[in-house]
Amino acid sequence: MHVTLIHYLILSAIMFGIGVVGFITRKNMVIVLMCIELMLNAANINFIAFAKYRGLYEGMSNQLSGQVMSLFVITIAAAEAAVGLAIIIVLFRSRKTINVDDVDLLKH
Amino acid sequence: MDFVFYLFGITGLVSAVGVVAFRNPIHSALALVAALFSTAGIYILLDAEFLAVLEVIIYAGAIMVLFLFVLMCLNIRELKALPQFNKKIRPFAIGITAIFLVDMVYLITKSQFGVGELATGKYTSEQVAAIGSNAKALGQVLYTRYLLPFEAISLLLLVAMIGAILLMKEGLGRK
Amino acid sequence: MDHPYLPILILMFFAFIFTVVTIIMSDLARPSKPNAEKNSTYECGAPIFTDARGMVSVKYYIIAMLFLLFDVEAAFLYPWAINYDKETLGLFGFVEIVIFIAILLVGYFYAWRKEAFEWES
Repeated sequence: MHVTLIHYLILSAIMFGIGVVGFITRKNMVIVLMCIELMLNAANINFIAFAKYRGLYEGMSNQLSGQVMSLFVITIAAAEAAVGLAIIIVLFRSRKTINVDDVDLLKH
Repeated sequence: MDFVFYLFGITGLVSAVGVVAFRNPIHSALALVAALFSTAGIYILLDAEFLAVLEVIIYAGAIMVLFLFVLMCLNIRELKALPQFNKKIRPFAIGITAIFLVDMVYLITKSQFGVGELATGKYTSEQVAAIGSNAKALGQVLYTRYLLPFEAISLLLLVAMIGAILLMKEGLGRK
Repeated sequence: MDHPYLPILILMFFAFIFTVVTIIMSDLARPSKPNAEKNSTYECGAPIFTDARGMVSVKYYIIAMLFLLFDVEAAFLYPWAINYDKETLGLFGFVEIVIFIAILLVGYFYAWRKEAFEWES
């Protein structure tokens, strides 16, 4: 069977699903952040696949828009990793834990 | 061509499962690097060379280095002793995700996406080749049509930088 | 099968095969007589004084974070650099990129002010 847009979409859906399972079941906060990266990555595959196969819709100037969006997603992932990991380090220093279940207090 | 798609797709999915399943966080991080490399291969199949290179440089290079540094800043030995998996919630999570996947696959295959023709318009692969390179064509779109998001991205990076430095300098100092 | 990236795929394939074959061959060919001295970590010949699994200083994180964010900035400059000529972008593109860099320079001076670049503190 020839590879078409459907194959890329299903690949990205499965990768997103794996990311969701890890996001819910893992207790280590760093791994939870990694699973978020996995999900963003799956979304990126979707953007680029649509850019190649379905670029031109009304309101969309050209098919490179999908690739530009994916560039922005990579940037957002970088910013998210920088701030998220800083929060994890500060949390570990003050609470001595990075288990998501132990961090359930709002007060100091 | 098809063979290459399945090669990168399967290595990507297997390493993605590795990220979720490995006990040792360092192994998870390395599995994520493998998943990102496979994704870069998929990007090349989709004519997005510049993004494939960025995926390797930024994601697999810089972001994963950051993750590994953080894992080393935390105390690995204590981390390994911690419970890693939430066993109670696991069947629920897998069930929900299975339902989601069945829905997605049903919708995708039922949709009109599979007709297989490539996109038409200003930047087909031949026209991109005539412009010179994928990066050049991407720049022409990025710096004209996406001017405002582009400037907004610099604000996002600025806020991320200030936030991370503030957390490190103030959050650690005060205890 | 005449994709322009086919040579890279073949290169990757042979690199993979070469690595696997080399590791298996050396595993089969070498004598195996381990002792405690041989199995210890080799650190330029000096005696080892701590475990490598200790805590690494947070300073490394700050350097890696600054590297990551400026790396992303440099990635955005590349498509601009190869498009920078009179026909496509011109003065408009120049002003645009100056604004982009000026916003990030604020972050650079903030990091400088907060002594994020200082190793001893």
